[in-house]
Amino acid sequence: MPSAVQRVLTALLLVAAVVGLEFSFEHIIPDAAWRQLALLAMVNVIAALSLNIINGMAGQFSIGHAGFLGIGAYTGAIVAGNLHQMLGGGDTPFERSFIVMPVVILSAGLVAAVFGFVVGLPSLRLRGDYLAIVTLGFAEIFRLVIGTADTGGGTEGAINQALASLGGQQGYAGPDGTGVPQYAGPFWIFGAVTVATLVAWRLKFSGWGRTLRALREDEIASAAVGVDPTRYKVTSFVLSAAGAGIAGGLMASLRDGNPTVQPEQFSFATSFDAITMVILGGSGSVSGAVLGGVLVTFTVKMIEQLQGLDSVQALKAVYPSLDLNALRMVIYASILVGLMILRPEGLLGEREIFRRKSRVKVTGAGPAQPVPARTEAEVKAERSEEGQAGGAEAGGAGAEGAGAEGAMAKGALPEGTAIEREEQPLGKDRS
Amino acid sequence: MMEILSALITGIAQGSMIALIALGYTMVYGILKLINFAHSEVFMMGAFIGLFAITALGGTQAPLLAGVGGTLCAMAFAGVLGVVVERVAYAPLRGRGRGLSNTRITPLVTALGMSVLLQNLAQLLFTARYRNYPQLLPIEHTRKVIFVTAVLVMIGLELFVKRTWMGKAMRAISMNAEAARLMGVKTSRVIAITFVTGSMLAALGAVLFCLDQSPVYPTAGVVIGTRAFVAAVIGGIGNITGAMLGGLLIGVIGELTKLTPYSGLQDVLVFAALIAVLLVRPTGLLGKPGTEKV
Repeated sequence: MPSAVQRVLTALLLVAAVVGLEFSFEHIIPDAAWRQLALLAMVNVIAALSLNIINGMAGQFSIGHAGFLGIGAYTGAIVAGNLHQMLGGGDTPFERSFIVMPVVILSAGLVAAVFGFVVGLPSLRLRGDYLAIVTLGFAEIFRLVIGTADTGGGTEGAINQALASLGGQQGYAGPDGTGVPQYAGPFWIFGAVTVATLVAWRLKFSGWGRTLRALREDEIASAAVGVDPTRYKVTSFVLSAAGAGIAGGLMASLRDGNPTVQPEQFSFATSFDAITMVILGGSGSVSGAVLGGVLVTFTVKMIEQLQGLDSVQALKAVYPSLDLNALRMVIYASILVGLMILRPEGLLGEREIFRRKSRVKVTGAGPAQPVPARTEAEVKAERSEEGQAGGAEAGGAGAEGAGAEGAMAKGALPEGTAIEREEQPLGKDRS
Repeated sequence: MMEILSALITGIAQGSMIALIALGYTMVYGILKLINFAHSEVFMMGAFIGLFAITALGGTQAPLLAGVGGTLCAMAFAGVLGVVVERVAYAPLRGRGRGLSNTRITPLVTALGMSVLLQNLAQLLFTARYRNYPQLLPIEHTRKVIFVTAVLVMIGLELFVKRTWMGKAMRAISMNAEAARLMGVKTSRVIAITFVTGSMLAALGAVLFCLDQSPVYPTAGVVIGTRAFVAAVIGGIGNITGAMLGGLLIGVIGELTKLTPYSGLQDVLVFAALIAVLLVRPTGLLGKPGTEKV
């Protein structure tokens, strides 16, 4: 376990690295497009990390993450735009970002968290797929309401006018229409990613995270040992939404990025990308979410780059009607489907890349956690967790495979109501 | 008043067609507990094939032959496509991936992946151009044909699921796949047939839909697919009568919104209705937790 001095040193090192990036970033990556991509990848990582809380740890299934991202982006854009104007407009110097960005991050996170609370509340009543559909519905409603605000209906009424001022389909470009000020440079983006990763990591291995996973494995058993499912589920939703909101806020004021916030940026495709990042990296794994976020962002870009190849251009010359963008999406989707079939658990499964050095403390606190060690499967699952926590990663992985089998049958659906028992056999169907 | 009445009639025609597509979602969900996101693309592909077949068979010169032949072609193609999607994207995951907590989520990702794949494949093959169906029937007859066909198909499907051996096998799988397999039901084949049936219904709905008024284009599946999906959920996903009811509801809501100045908010209302229904009845209007579902 690192001493206090080590911790302070690590923290200082991280801060120094992030500040260093702010000033040297343009020298490290000279190409503006790649620079923007790197920043975008980091924002995506935050989005993936936040979605990982609901989808990976809590075992709920949200397919409307774009809604929270969008709410954060719009809030962030409005706050940043107005604050920028109050400060006199003009350039976006680094010093001033210390006034604007904290407000943007806080407000975007808070507003999204409020919505997360509202959307999370139905999770008390709805099970698995239905909850997923409600989240999808919420995201779609958000996008459609903003997208059609300036076209549908009259412009009377305060709400209508407020919505119409967001620019409808064209997008919101600051209060005076000159674009959202782009304060979020490398310092803020990389800083936020670092903080988000650390928070997600601590959450996963905290008592809260363990409780959440216990709830995912078997809700009834967890409730029986004193876990309040309602509280944990709603908090996971609120936390996840707050994270997504922050990612959205950063996205809105991303340097070198798009200076307008458009509703189409937050369509179902965005939610899909976020889910892909989490699942591809390995749901429930923090390092998996980071990996997934970076991989997905860069894969999309890589395939885009392929379009510039001579052979592709020659093909285009032969078939003028060839839609390269569609071709790109076909390739992307094929890769995704193929990867999912070859490795359904994602690249990492629920494991982490790095060994945890400070495990002793967590393990020591372990028995106090309300982990429902009732059935054989859960005993195995717990053993695998301890095996992992003990530092033997390889051994832990083997045990996890065995333990997780039980986890699949139970944890596939968090709310263990009678009907969900029915589909246990289907998972084992090898036909 | 007349406006409302005519909107109601259009809404019912629209709704019964949406219901046809919703059935595909409902049947697959009933058996596999999987939201088949690629279903809307099967619908779109069916519409394209229907258009080509109808044009090839003579279009307006021989409306009856072209209409019936084109529909059958589209249905056959969609049936094959449905099975291909199932075999490529879902079947490999069914045997594998056991012992994972995200077994339910992984097929959803491949389903979404297939949807994106098919949509862009259509864009690649057919280009993003909007194409209109030839006017085979006068518009007022089209509505009647849609409604009558939809009702007949629903009755046929209900009989198929309730009275035939295959239907019984489907219900058995939806109750307990393992036990059904032990009793000699070939689960893999029954699942394939479920996909064929659902996809054929989607193709039928697609041809009817496009005959009515709509152009066909690669992203056509998204709008209608979403509505059909919502209809299936509102009715209680897994429940055939529920899909019909949900479809009618969505169709009527959609047409009635067009009368108000807020026509752009049609889909917002559809989703709001969905959330409202789910909050009051968490398993949809007709869905009962614990009942058999196909």
